[in-house]
Amino acid sequence: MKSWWIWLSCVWLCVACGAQTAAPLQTQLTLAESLNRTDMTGFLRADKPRQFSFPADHGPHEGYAVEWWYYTGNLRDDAGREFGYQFTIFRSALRAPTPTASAATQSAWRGATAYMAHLAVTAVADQQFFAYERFNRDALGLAGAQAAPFKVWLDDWQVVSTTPDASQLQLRASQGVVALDLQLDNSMTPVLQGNAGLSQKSAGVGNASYYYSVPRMPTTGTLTIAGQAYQVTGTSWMDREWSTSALAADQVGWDWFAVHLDDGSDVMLYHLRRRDGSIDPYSGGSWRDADGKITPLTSADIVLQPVGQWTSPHTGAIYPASWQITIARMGLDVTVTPLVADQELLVTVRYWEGAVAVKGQRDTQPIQGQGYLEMTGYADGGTRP
Amino acid sequence: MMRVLWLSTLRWPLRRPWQALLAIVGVAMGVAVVIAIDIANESARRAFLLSTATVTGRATDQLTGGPNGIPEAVFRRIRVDVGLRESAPVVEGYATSVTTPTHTLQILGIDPFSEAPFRSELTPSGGLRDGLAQLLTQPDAVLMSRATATMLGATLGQPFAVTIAGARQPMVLVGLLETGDAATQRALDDLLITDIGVAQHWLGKVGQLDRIDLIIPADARGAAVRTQLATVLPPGVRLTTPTQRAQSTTEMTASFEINLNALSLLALVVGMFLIYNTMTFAVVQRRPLLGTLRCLGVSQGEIARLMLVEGSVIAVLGTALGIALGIGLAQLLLGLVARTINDIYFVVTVNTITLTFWPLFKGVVLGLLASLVALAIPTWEAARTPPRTVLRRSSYEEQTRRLVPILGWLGLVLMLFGGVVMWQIPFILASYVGLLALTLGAAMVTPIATVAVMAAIRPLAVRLFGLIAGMAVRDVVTSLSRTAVAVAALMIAVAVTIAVGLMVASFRLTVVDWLTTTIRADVFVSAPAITANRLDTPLPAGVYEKVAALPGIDRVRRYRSTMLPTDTTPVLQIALDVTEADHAAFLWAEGDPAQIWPAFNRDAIIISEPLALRHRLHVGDTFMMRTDRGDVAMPIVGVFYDYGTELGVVMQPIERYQQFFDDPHLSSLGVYLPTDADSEAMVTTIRDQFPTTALMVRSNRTLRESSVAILDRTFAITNVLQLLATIVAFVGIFAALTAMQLERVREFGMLRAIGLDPRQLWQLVLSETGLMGLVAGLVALPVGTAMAWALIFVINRISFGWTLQFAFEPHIYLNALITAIVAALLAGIVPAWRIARIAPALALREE
Amino acid sequence: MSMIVELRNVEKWYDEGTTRRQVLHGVDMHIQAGERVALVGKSGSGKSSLLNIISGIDYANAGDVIIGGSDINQLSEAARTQFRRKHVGFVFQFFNLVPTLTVLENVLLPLELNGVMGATAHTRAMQMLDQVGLADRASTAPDRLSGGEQQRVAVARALVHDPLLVLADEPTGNLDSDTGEQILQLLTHLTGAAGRALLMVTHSREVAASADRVVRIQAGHLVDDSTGVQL
Repeated sequence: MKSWWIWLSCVWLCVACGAQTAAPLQTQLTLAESLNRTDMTGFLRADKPRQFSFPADHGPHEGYAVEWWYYTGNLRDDAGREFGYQFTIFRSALRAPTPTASAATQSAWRGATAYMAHLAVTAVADQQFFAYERFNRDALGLAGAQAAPFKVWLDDWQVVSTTPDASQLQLRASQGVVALDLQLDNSMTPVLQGNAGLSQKSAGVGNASYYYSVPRMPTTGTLTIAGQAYQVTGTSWMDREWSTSALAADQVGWDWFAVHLDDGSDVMLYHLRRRDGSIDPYSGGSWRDADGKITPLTSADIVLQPVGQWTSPHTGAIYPASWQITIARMGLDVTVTPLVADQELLVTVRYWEGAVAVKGQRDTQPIQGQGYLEMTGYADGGTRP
Repeated sequence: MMRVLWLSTLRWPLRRPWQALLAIVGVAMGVAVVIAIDIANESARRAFLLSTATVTGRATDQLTGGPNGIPEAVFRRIRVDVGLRESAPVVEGYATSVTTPTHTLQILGIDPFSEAPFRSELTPSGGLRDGLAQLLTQPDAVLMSRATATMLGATLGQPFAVTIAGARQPMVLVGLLETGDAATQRALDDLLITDIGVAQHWLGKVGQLDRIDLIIPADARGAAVRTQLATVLPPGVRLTTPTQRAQSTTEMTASFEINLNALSLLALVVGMFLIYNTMTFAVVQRRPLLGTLRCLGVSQGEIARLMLVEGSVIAVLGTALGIALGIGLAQLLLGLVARTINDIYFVVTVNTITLTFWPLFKGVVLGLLASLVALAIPTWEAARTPPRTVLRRSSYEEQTRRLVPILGWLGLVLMLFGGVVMWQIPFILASYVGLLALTLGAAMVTPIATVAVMAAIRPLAVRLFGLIAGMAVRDVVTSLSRTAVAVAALMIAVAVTIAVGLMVASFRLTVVDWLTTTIRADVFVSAPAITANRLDTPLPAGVYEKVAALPGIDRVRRYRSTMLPTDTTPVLQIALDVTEADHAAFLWAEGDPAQIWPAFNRDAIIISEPLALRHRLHVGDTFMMRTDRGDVAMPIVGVFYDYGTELGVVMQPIERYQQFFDDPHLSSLGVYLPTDADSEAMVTTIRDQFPTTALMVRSNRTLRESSVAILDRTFAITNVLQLLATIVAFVGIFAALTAMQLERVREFGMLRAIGLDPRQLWQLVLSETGLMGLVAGLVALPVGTAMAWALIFVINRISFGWTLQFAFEPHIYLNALITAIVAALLAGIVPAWRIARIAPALALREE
Repeated sequence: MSMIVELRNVEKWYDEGTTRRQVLHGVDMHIQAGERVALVGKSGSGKSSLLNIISGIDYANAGDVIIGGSDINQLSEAARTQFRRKHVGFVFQFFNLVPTLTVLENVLLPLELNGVMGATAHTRAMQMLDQVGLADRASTAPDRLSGGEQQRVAVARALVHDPLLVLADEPTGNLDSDTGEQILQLLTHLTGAAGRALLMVTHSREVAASADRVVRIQAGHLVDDSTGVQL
């Protein structure tokens, strides 16, 4: 589960178009008002379990209003320099798909879908963090997604399969001082999250998404920062979701973890935080062990404890500085620490997403790991020009 | 500070306030006209540049194409393949308000995702949530400024309509554009922003872009980008800069503006005469006082200072009033100026004037300068006043009388000089200097002409009208020092009336003749255009085929006209069918018809006279044409007369056009019927074929009439200016005559005393003023003709490049003469009335 | 007693084409301080020309024109104007008051031209007006006054700046005999007592009678120079 709240049809669009310059962000974006797909007619909803098939489901699901392709990864080069990256492409339908063909004079610009993409790179050694954002629509092939061959792109940012079955993906994106050119191994069997891929977010039928992940993708490639190219290897994580749903009004944000442990397990957890400070019972996660066995986790299984505080110098938001994760059921008790304190994305919506180091114990044995953490909803209290 | 001395003269206007007031009004009007024209021109230009700049935003470069624009795939190539992210596609067009068809609106189709680096003002500020999303999803969604919405009667969320290419286009207002500062807010007036896809649909440009705006840095990186672009662009798409484009467009009106300015200066010249006249009178009236002061020991310098200050006060007050009047007048004239520009040159939407520093400053300087120049002589005259006891009026008049022939000779020399300058020096400004010399010279010749004319008619007058007439004739001459200037001013105004009348008549004659020769088809079919001259709106598909298939038609001739950009000003390109039957419709300035047509059909083009003149092209030269296949050098094989536009026209066969341009459209059709066929019936037939398509179908006669109507409309502003100049002159005459007559009150009182009754006094005064009008009118006849010659054969030729026929219209002369006399008579009514009322005794007492 | 006006062999002519029209032939004349002289002659006799030369308005073609010790004929036009401003007062037949100034302002004018302003000028002007008996009409406009009153103001104006010489051109020509008498009295009294020279151009018996001396001019020649004229 990822930052699908960032998705909106209207709000981020208009803010976005203004915000692409240095123009100050003037709109207050709170979680509740952001997910205001008030009119859901014409869209499919994630209201019942479905049959997944790959590589077809790697492609877009146009019947649903929102969808994303979410890639994060921890990389290092031969000299041991550590890096993290996040690359996300979001799809948001501008209007419900219509069965009738459009008018003969319909312009190629009138695409029905808008796209947003985020690119973030962390250079741990220099404690640097870069984040970029782009928007476009599916007009003239400027942005889009397709299943066969698999490709998702926005302008010249793209993830494209280099094999017919999408088992090998190439990710290319660059802006400003950073450039990524990575090959991701997508041959692992996707993990269906929630109830066989149906992930309920709040009460009510349809307030859910179809959600799968590919937790462990061996990665190699080139990462360039300010003209300096690094040959890197590491592991990436892909998250995929699509839905037409709304958050409950009282959900103000979440904390989401994607962790690779050095015993071969991959863990995904999230906490939905409510306005009154409590944790929503729809929080949860999943555990995939080294053999591929999947254990779904409920809110009761997970204890997430924020430790310490970090105040953003940009937005003034106060984030937890680190976390203590206890999953008694799996014997896990670890500390999750950001590799760089400031990995806050200052894009249309402010959120924190960054590479983390994991250290602790599993069943009294020391264990380590790495991964990505996303913290949202902390910067909603105010805006900072 | 000699307080009492100053008071002695400065209180004078208080006794005869209307005199000074009239002078102030005269100067004010002269300054007002100059300022008004300047402001109107400047406002139109600024509106155009501002709207262009707003629409251009921060683009440093632009990609433009031919008449069909740029294929939209090019944008993807640039953005994705080359990776030039600061690129924005644009589709533009025009619409008109449904309720006010003369009010034009600019449609700007943009891609909101590309816009931010370019035109952030055009995307609504934060807080406007739904607007932008609706722009992307709702068909016919549009954004505009609040002012525009009010003007169009559009409210948020409600549908409204505008007219595009003659058809009603419904739209929905989904958001309002608001910016922080007033200047940018003004720039958003009359701008309709919509998604590029919608604009393509509305304007029939699906699949194409009008341009792609780019921001390319000025450094080495940018240079590399530009090189890379050159490899990626298809032929016919070029990289240019926004300033280049704006420049070449605004230059089109250069000649038009200069001509307007010159005409407005005329009003100022007449105003100058006014202040000269008033000050001269002031001196004359106060001569006894000045003489006394000189006796008391006031020096010449001190007298000069007194007069100068008084004159300056009038100048300053007049100029100040002129500024206020000018601004108001500008608003009135703006519509005329804008409409003329729209008719002939390019689309500009301007509805309010922009007040800038320069026109006001220029007006002030000119007003003050002109007044000071006009003051020079009266001041000198005043200073020369001899002390009282030496003063004798008749000797002064004698002195003046002696000057008159000298002045006359000088005037003739000046006129000759003016003529030579206009003949020999082919620059527009020199021509106007020459015209000015001609005018001033004519004014200087007027006094001696007055003497001559009066001497000639004296015996006739006495015989026909008796003693009073004889007295009147004599009086005009004896008061020459005071009548000369008034007569000269009236003469100039009347001469200008004649000149402008002859010029317009010549234009009309030439154009009507030309229209008759060149417009041969019986019926014309074209798409409705927003301005009279823009014929590049394509005909809807299928019209040609349908029309050609109609029974009762001999043949259909195809035309495709487009604006072709060049390195300087754009040129009108007309691709057409030419068969042997059409050869007679061309009037050649250069080239042998026997050779022209074979070459034309092969590979050559023909160009219009204004283009040849402006760019100094002749038969045998080549014209570089920018085509979709790159630049092609076309040989020129003939130069034809063309009065449709001053812009310059190139013509080529339509098949060749379609070879070089990816433009299969047509602009208009000429339908030829058998002789004796009913054109009007065919008009109806064709219209019936297309009940739902917006088409303009006109018969030959209707087309010619509407062309002439446009021509007349073009001259509307000229006529207005000329009328204003005449009014200024009239004000001057009135002031002069009234002052003059009132000064002779004592004399008239004496006449009453010796037995003339009031009726006879009326006759006397009116006869005098009428005679002055007669002289003014008579002298204006040859002078006006000379001015007309200058305007037609020199100035218009240089400005626009046309050869005109001279139209000799006797009624213009007759009208002018009558106007002069009537104006003078009217100006004499008030003085006559006042004089006739004076009781003799009172008059005698006055001293 | 000093000589205010001294003319020696003054000549004036006009050249019109090839002919020369001689207006004054070798005129000698003198006027003492306090002397009141009447200049009589027919029209065209050269009276006006002589007046113009003495006042510095015009220049003599030959001879000396010594006023108050300076030969003004040698001076430039501007200098003569300054001289006239300071040392000469005028009284005209038709009064020639400045119509746009009040009575007081008319009398202030010569003072102002001579650099006397403010309270000093005001006092002096009022004194003068008092002497001619019009102090109560100080703020009246001239056209509201009778002829005699206007001429009295003119006299005040001619004397207010304490000139050496007062020139009167037909001072009573526009007045009835009683009023004229009044004016003559004023003139002669005010000039004689203050030691100024007074030259009156006239063809009136009464004016001549009020003078100390009568000088006659005929065809450009000074013919008579006698006291107690018999015309």
